[in-house]
Amino acid sequence: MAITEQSLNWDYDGPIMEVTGLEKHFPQNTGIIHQLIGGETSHVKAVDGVDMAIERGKTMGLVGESGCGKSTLGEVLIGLQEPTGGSIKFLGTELESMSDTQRKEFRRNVQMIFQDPYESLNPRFSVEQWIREPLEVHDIDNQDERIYEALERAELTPPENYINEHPHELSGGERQRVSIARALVLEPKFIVADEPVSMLDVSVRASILNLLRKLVDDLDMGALYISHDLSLIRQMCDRTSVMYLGKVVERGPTEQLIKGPKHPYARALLDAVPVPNPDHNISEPQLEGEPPDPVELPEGCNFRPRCPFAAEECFEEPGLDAYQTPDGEHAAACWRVETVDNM
Amino acid sequence: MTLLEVNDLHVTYAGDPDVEAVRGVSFTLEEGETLGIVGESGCGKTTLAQAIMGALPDNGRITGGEIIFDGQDITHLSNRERREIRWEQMSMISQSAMNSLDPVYRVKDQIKEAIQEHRDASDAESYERARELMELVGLDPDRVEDYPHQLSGGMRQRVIIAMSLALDPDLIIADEPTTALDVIIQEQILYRIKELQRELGNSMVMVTHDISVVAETCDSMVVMYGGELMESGNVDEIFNNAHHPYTLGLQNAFPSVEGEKRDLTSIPGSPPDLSEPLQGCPFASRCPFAAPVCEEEVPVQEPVDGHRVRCHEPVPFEQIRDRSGEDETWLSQNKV
Repeated sequence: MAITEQSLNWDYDGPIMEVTGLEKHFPQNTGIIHQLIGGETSHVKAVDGVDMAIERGKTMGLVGESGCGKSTLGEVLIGLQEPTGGSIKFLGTELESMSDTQRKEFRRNVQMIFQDPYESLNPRFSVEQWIREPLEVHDIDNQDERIYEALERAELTPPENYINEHPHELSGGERQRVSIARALVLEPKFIVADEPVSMLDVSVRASILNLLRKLVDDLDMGALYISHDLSLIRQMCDRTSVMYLGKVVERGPTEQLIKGPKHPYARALLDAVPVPNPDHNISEPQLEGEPPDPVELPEGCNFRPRCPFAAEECFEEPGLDAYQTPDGEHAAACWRVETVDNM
Repeated sequence: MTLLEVNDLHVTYAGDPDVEAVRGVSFTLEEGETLGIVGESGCGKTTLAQAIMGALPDNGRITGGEIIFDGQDITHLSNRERREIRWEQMSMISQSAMNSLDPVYRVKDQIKEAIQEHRDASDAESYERARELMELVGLDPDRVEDYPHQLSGGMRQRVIIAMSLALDPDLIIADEPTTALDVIIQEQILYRIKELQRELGNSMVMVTHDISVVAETCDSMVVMYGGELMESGNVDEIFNNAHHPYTLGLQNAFPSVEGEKRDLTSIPGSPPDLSEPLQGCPFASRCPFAAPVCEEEVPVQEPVDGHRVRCHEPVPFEQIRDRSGEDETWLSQNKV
C-alpha cells in the first residue's frame, strides 16, 4: 500500500498496539430520579489505568477472573468501545488523532475472534456469505479469491467443501475456524481472541491454538489472547499480563510468570488451575470469596482486602514498578514480593 | 462395599431416527469413593448420569442392562419409586443448576421445600437446617434470606450443593459442577465438595470434560467415547499407565501449568453418529493405530487388576503410548 499523507505508517517498527493509562469507566446511577435528588454518579472502573505494548508477531496473554475487565479491555483495543481516558496507539498513531482514512484503515486492521462459535455465526448465512460480509462492508475487491485464501489459511480445505455449508452443518472446531477465516479475510495486523477455545472440545482445542499461533507468526500480526485459564495462555502467549479489578497487577514473559509468579493474586490464580496429575490433590484455596464490585475500590492496593499477605504498607497503592526484575521484563504491582518469596 | 453397580447399560432417545446415546457401559462405585466420568460432548456422559439418577428426558429410556444401587435393582422402578430414592439417597448437582433456582423465592424457601418434600420437618426445623447447610458449603447463613439474583454465580452453585446435601444422600452425582465458573471459584467449590465428602462419607460420581478435575478429585475414572466405555480404572493407573489411544489422545491434548511446557496434540475428525449402529470400536475412524479388525469387531478385554481397556491393541500399547504424544501421529490420519 502506498504511503500517502493520510495513511497509517505501515513501516512503523515499534509496538503495533500500545496503550498508556487506558481507562474505561462506566457511569452508574445515571437515572433521572437519582439525578433529581442530587445523587452522585459513581463509576464502574472496568479498565483503570492500563499500560500495554504488543509487538508484531507476538501474542500477549491477558488473564483474570470474570469481571476483572479483561474483555472490556479487548473491546476497547479494537474500537468496539470508546475509552474514557488514556491513549491507544496503533502503528504509532494516536487513535484519537487519526484522520477518517486512518480510522478506516484501523477498523479494517484490528479484528476480533469471539468465544462462542455457536452464537457468533449467523445461522442463515452460508460460510461464503459470512466471510464475504466484512469485505462488502469495507468495499474490497477480488472477494472470491480472498474468501478462498482465508478458508485455506484457517485450514478449511479444500474451500469448495465448506463454502456452501451453514453453521449447523459444521462441528464446533470448524465453526471456530470459520470465525477465524472471517477475521482474517481483511488481512488484519492485530487480532483480539477472547476465550476462543473455551466452548470447544478438548481434542480440537490444540488444533485451534496451533492454528492461531501459526497465523500470528506467518502474517506477522500482533495478538491479544484473553482467557481465565493460565494453562491455555501458556500454550499461546509470549508474554502475559494478569488483570485484577481493572488494573494489570503483573506482567512478564509467560514461562517466567508461570514458573515464578510474583503478585499474590497471580500466585493464587496459578495455584487454582487444576493439573492433570493424580499426585496433585486439590489443595486448600489461597483465596476466599470473590472480587468486590469495581465501583468502590479499596484504599491502597486493590487486592489488599483479599490478600493473605497484606500489611501496613499495602494501604499505599503499588504500581508495576513496585517489583521489577533487573531487566525490567517481569514486573508486579506488589510491595511484598520479596517477603512473600522468602516465606 | 459396592454402592453402585452399572452393568451393560444402554440408553436410547426416541426420535427420528432413534439415538442410542449409551451403549453398554459397566462400572462399579465403592462406598465413600469418587468416580470420574470423563469424555467430550456427545459421548453419553450426561445421559449416563441422568439414567442413574432416574432423571432422563421424556424421550429417553433404558433399553438394556441394569443399575444396582445399595443392593437394589433400580433399573425399572416406577417414577414414584424413583422419586423416593431421588434426593434422599441420591442427589444431583447439574451444570445449569445455578440457573435453575426459582428467582421469585428466597433461598430459605427453596431449601425448605427440598427438605419438606421428603421429610416430615416443621418450618422451624427446616429453616435451621437451611442455615446449617449454608454454613456447610461456606456461605453466610444469613444469606438464606436472599433471592437468587442477589447471589453471584459461585454462590448460587454453592446453594445448589447445599440443597443436594439437604437429606444426607449416600450418592451425589455432579455433572460438570464448576464448568461455568472461573478457576478460583472452581477451586473453592471443588475443595468444599471434597471436604464435605470426607466429613459426611458419601460417594460421588463426577461427570466432566476436564481430566485435570478428575485427577485432582477422583479415586477412579471411566473414559467414554461414542456412548461406550473406552478405558476405566484407578485414577493413578489411568494417568500413569493409560493404554487406550483415545485416553492418551485426551491426555496429550490437555494443557498443564505444571512441569515443562510441551506441545499439545489434537484428535482430528469428529465423533460417530449415534443414530447408526456401530460395528467395531467407535473410535476406529479417528484412531491413527486402527487396523481392519477395529472397524469390524467390538473389542472386549477383561480388566486386569481393575484396569479395563476396550481396545484390540492393533499396535503394542507401549508403542501407542510413545507415538501418541506426537502431533504427526494424529495428523497422519485426516484433517478436522
